[in-house]
Amino acid sequence: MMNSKQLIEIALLAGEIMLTNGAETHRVEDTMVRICSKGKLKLAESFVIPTVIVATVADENNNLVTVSKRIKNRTIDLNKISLVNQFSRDFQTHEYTYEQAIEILNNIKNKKGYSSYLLPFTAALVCCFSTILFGGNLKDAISAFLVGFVTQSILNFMNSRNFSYFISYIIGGATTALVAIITVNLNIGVHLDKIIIGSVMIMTPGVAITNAIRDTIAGDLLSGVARGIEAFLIAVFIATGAGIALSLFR
Amino acid sequence: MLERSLVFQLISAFIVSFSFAILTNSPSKSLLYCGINGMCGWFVNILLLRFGFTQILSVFFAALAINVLSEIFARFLKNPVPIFLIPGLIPLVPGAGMYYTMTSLLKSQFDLAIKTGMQTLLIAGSIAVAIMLVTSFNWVFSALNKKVELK
Repeated sequence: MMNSKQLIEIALLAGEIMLTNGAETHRVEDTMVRICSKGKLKLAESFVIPTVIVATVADENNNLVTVSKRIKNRTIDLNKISLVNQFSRDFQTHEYTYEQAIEILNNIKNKKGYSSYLLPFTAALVCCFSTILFGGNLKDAISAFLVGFVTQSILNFMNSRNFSYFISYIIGGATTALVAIITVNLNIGVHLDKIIIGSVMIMTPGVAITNAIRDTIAGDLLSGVARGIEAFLIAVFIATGAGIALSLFR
Repeated sequence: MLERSLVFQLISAFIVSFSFAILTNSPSKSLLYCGINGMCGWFVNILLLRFGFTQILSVFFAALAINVLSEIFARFLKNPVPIFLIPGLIPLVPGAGMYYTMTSLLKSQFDLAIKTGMQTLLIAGSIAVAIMLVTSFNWVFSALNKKVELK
């Protein structure tokens, strides 16, 4: 049987993994409360916004424990969210010890995603085929493939060096437009607009938009507004970057 | 035209959603379903466009279909809903609208910029409303089910 301190430590680690990898805030709150409900607690509350986790539990003797955790850098790794979700379900049915639970969560935290050599190729595929969806021809698709490959390589590099997201999206947008202009001038591509529209797709803030809407419906207005602004700003940054490159080099 | 044929478009939508799922590090078991989700959404979109619906309405119904499918896949595969929802919606994102708004701002054509910008916002809004509808209906149903169990 775990005491309240150990339970809240497990819940905090689980919540941290979920929030840093792009889960909605109500899902994080639910998971943390579900993990805490395993013990005999009088009270288990959690409050989560995209940058902070706060949780409080009280045991039978009214000993209150409150912990908080500041979340600084956020990435997107939906696999980890799925794994922690699975863990919180197993945690209720199985009898884990404290050490086992922490070890499982640490393994999830340190799990590597898809190989970084694979990402530029998949990004290039996204660009190539979304150019076709938006009405480009085969020549445009080939040049969008090149654009996606270069842009995602640069984005990967900037992510590994922890650039601020403001700078990385502006540089990403500028790279997209620049490489597209070069390919059109080399006569690889034909329609500049369609190549850029298709290639910008790899940077779309899909996670931020979806989470903003789902958070708002769940009643987490603070998180909903914060993520909505984030998504809008990312779109503006990409447009700014592409606009700078277009007006300078065309 | 090869690019205009329906089959080619559907395959493209499948590959876009499938690859975007890899970019967001989705679990490898869900990748195929993400692709199917994107393909179905694009099919609804393109079908309604060919029947003469406006772009806003066809995107709305496509987003509705994607969200319903995501809820089904999520129950079926015991994974969170956003894993299937995010890659599925990617082909519908109004990237073209954002681009033309930006270029008309660069050329100082503000009336055109406002027109395309409003249209882009409305398309994005219709995706949002579609997600809201399905998600809140789903939560209503699950709340009703719980009450029945308690009795």
